[in-house]
Amino acid sequence: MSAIASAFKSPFKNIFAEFTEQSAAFTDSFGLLFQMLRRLPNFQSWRWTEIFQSVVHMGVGSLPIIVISTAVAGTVVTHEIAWHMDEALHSVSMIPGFSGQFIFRELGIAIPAMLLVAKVGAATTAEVGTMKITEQIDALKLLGIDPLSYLVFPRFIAAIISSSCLTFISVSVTMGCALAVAVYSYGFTTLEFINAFKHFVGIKDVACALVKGIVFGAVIPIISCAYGFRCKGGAEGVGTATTNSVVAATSTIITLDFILTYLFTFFL
Amino acid sequence: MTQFLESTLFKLLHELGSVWLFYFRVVGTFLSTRGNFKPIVAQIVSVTIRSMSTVIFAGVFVGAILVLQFNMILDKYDASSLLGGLNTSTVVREVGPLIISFLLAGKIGAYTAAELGTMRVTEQIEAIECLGTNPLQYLVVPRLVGIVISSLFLLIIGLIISIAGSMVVASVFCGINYLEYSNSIPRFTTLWTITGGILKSMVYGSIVATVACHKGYTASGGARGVGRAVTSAAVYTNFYILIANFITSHFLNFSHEMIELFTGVHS
Repeated sequence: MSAIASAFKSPFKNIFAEFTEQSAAFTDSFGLLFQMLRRLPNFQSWRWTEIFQSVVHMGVGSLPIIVISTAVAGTVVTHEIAWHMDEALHSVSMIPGFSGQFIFRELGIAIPAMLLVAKVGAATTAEVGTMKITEQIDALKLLGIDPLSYLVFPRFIAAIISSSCLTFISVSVTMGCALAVAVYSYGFTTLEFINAFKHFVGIKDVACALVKGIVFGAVIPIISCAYGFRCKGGAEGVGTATTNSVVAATSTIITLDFILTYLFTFFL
Repeated sequence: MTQFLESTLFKLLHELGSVWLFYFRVVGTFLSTRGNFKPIVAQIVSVTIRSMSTVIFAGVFVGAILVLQFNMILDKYDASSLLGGLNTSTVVREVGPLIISFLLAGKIGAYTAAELGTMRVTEQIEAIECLGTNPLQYLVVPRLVGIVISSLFLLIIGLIISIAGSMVVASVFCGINYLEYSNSIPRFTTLWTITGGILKSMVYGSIVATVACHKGYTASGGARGVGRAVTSAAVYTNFYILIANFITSHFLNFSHEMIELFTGVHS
């Protein structure tokens, strides 16, 4: 029984230390965001080759997985919406409006963001954390190079660019799948679908998608770099930091999603 | 471009095959060995306690986001009274298990992959093998089975919290009181919906557990290898969960229709 008893105790043992660590990392993320925004207007210091490389690495590298996943999600959600509409209103004529708005405002944005957290965020934390524990970041500082401008800023810009592009790609892929499902399973014609879709989805939804894409893209590198910079204690520390950063980034994205949805629903 | 697609496809199939083989090996070890009870219970307890806060957080916000989104759309049709039913049904059937298991993939999956991966690259697993113990039984079986069972618990808790949270959000932000909200729930949420949600949670929990254990167990290449294992565990878990979502949804719809057809009970 002692193993079970210790399992009960172990998560509570360092709860205070963990809480301070998490809140310190959270504060660090805000500091990092402020630093990034301060560097934003200074166009001379943008390292374009680095940014383009990161865009290719982040964006094109996660393109296949995001396209496949969002396509699958789009089909499932359209089926679900059709089922619910059939149950509630005994007609499926609202599929275009309902699924279009749901995809533009929520689904086509949240799922690629989650996948980007797992793919880009975890890799960034592991990379920066490894640099930190092998003292490469101290070496950079010693050479008079600012690690924030050198390491974080290109990733920040690249993540914003690739996230907003991937958001649009995934929204169009998901919409395409919804269209295909509506046409093949529920007897819509393509023109009918697009007409009804245009009636419900306007420039506001596109703006919502773009803003959410940009915000989520900015969140990912900042949180993962903040956790990477706080890394200590060898290889194990990198593993812990990666886990924590994935959880923190996903939680932050869900929270921001709620806030942005609230703002877009009630104020815009 | 063709080469890129080809290599991506090959990598994917390779991954999928090795995960399946690993799963069968672990399940075979689990069934053919004894004395796994205590470590499994210990694992369940520690995983559940460690991820409870994350799950509660995710549950509340998933429900809240969906309430706002549905309310906006339903307002246009003047059908706000259906909000509770639609929201509960969508959360239980579809979005709840999906998003909560995404978070579990980050929390439990990455942790387990890092733990097993560190053991692998520091040759602790080889040491266990040298001592004549089966590392699959000693390390992997308790983790895998424990994570499957505890993620089932966690997802059920998350879904309940999410329903309660969305009720509160609906009354605070959308002005729909509790009675009105819960009135339409039974119309959409039946026993079958809940069965489907639990089945999905079980499938996603198995995916999280298997992919994390597999990635950690087969990690190689020092500290960098552990980092790679953690990253790819998170990515592949999310990817497989989305694919499994597609398959389980269609399977559930199909079996629902079959049950209705053969028993004549409309549930």
